[in-house]
Amino acid sequence: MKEAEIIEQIHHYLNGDLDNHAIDLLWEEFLKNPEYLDYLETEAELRNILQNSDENVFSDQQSSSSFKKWSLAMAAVLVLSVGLQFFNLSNKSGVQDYTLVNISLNEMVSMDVYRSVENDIDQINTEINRGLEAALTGRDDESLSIFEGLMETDLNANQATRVFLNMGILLYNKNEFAISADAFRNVLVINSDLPEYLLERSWWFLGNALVKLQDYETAREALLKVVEYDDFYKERAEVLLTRLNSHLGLNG
Amino acid sequence: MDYSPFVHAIRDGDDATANKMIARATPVLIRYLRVRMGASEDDAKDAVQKMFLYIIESIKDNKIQNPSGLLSYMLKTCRHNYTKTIRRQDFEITDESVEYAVNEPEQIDKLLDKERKRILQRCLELLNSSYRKFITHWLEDPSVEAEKLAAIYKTSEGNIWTRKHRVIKQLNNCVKKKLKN
Repeated sequence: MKEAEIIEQIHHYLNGDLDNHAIDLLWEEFLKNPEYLDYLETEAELRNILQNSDENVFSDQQSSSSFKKWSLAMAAVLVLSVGLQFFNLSNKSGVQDYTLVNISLNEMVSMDVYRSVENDIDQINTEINRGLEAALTGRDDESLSIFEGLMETDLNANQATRVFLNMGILLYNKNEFAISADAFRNVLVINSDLPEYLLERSWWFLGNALVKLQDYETAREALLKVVEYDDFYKERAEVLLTRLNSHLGLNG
Repeated sequence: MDYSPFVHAIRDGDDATANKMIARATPVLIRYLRVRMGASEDDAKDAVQKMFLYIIESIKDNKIQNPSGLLSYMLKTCRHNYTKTIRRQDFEITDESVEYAVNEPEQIDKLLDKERKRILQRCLELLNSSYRKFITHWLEDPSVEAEKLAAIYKTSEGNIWTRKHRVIKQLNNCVKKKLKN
């Protein structure tokens, strides 16, 4: 089968339009080149994101739309940018106004349970996900106590970073900025297995917590790190940085 | 990947080549049974392992003469092994119910990893706006025919498929890149 034909067949497969024979022929192509299986899964995920507007990627119990959330996030950035231009003219707002009021619980991270091979790891991962579920269903205190309990256990680096990141978010939302900042710092110290986008996320939250604590110089360093990643939070970090620089009497 | 070297490797006792090809095919075959048959991860692994043992013996005994039909034979043998496992687990099950999973796109959905999905969302945000608009337009309602989209986007049907391929490939690469620590 030529590549163009495989791509079309994947589309029809996901539409449920292929018969058993055609499906098996497609799987033979996946065996010849497993890259096409990645392609199939990416398209399936994408359809899932775009079609299930009421589905949350972390919890079936949340009803806000992932895609709509993206639009809202972009709209928020836009409003913030417009607000900043206005501020430059009027110069009346404080830097605190540009920090996150709350961190969305959707920023919390889960563990993959089925990928684990060792039983103990699997149990801890399940417990991390239980903490996440508690938070997402409005039981913040229970969630915090689950994560605190997990800190007493023998966590590997991958688990510890997730526990600290989730705790940092919950504590930030309780206005416990000093402990929250410590939790985010721990994520960045352990670092090891964390994907880059989670590191970027931790720097961004740390920057916000430090601004809340009025530790502006250190906050600035954290936000510069976010800008360096040149990714999802860059624009928001730049907005906060501009405000911070202005507050500190720095140019640029 | 052509699988005739696998047949030759088994016949020639070239374990390194044979093992390399088995390692590459195994995750795909496990996925196949999970998606097509709704198999559990453990049952799928078991069925794939038994399939390789059987196929290797068949090659050694010269029962497989035509390497070009090998992939189809592998899939069929995996299904057969899985069906046998299920029959042992549940005597009430009928032949029809174990033939294929009821809704395969649904089975694929069940296997999707939430963290990967979240990364994909990020990648979607990073996509240039014309690509994002195009893929959103199509995949929110994938039953729309390429021909119809070609008329809307004032291009050929072939270009529509090419554009879609480019977008998914770009997203796929973005996800892979971000999954790398």
